[in-house]
Amino acid sequence: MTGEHSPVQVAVDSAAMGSASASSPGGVPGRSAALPGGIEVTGLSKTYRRVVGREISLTAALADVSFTVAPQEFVSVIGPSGCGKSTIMKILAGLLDPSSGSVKVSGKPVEGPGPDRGCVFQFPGLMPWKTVVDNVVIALEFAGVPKRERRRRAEEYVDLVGLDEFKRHHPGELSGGMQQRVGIARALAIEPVVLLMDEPFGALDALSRTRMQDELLRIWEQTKKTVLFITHSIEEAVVLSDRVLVMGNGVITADVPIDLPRPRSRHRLLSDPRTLELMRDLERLIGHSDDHEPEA
Amino acid sequence: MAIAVERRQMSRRDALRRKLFSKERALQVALVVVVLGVWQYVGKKEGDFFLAPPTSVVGAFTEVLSGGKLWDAVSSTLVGIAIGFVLAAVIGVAVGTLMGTSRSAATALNPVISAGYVIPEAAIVPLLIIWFGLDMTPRIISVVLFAVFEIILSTYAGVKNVDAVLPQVARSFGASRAQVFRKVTCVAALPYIFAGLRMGAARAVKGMVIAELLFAATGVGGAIQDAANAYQTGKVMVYVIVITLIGVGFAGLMQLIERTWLRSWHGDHAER
Repeated sequence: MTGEHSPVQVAVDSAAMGSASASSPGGVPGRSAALPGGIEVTGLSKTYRRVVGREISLTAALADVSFTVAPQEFVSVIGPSGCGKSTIMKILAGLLDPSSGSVKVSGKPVEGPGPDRGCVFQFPGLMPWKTVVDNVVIALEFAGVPKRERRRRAEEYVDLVGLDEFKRHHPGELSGGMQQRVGIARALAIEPVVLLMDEPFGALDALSRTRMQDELLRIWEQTKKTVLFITHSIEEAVVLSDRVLVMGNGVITADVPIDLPRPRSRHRLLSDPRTLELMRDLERLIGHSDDHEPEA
Repeated sequence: MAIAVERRQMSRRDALRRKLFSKERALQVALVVVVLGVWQYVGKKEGDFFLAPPTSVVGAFTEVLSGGKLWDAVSSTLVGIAIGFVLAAVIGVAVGTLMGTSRSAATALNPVISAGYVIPEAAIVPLLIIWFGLDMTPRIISVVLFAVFEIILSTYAGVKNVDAVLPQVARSFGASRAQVFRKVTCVAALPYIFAGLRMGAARAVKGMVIAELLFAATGVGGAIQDAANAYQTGKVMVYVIVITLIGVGFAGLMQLIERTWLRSWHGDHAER
């Protein structure tokens, strides 16, 4: 979180040596993961069981994953597709039960979905029959927000993501980027302490994607939520995060602090040599984790 | 980001003109004129006995109207269709939804429903007469049999094909199972359900008329049978047109209900 660039990155290099699990205290020292907004994942495993014909196949999506996220920290999880990133997110959201291990948010074990966590998915999943504002209103209804408060809050957050002119539009009339803004507004409107984002910009074109990153930086600096952000874009992870967890084949293979100054803007960061250095390091780490693919 | 575009209302006159005078509209009218022309030509050549031309049908129509039996026939037919269709809609939507939400229900019911869908219902109508006699009950059952499978299968497809992301998102915000079902799944399946109801409505009319034809005594179907037995092709045509109008009117009514129900689906921007 400091403005200075350290010349040598110790964490990157030690991780590159192949430390299998990571439990670094995170980029925000002195803030416990047990405080409101903190995330603690301990020994998390998830095995999927599938029956095809006579064959029962067990696939380990997560194998003994542990990490913590401090309150108000922005942490990205990066890795190739199928490495278990989304499984972590689904378990944290309470949509999926783990096979073993524990998951705590604000020091409390996760038992099903709850309004302390706001989810943004790759496909925003807006109801095509409802207007932008009504899509947020119904999410608030599901989250148990009192009726008289729903509309006011929905409008407030639709304004926050810059869609004030599109409140009465239907999702079908919006571009992909604008639909995802609604998805973000909806997640923020339940006023969670933690924002869980699963490749939220993965389906957007490159231009919308960079614009949404800037937008998310702005919103995050305004709202200061804890964010767990899942992505497969190295650039995106570096631009946005305080810390990046590299995943491969169900384990975390590296934990990389991103020591770039805040407040950030993509534009400034991309002309910073430190940014490029971090991106190169991450690329190397991801390539490294790929080499460990087990013989199937 | 896009800039909100202006929304403007077309004047009523312009809207009407766009609706009435278009290339498609002209082709529609031309096609009807050609059909009527060919019909008139063949009818005149072959004579009323074989095929009454449109001009004779007009005469037959006034004759049927003044006969006074038309309204009795039509009202009895309409009541049967309405009762049968409402039953088919309730059964069809309920069963289709059950199949769409429960895999075991779908597996258990699929063979029966598929068989019911392919059976030519007309073949069962004589059985219905044997079992239930000649009053309204077998006719209503015939209507239900004709319409219900179409409605079941459309509803099933609609509920099953709801974008899986929608229930998941709702759940992630804390929606209960009942909320997901009522506010997400059912609404998301509405376009399919209405498509099924519209097809079911058309088939309900067919079911009624076929039952009446085989009963040979009641309703519009019975009237057709009488006219055909007397070789009054003009009258047969009149009744066929009446049935067509009932069918079109019924389907139109369904479309009207669909449009009001699915207003937001089609993007109505009225301020509330």
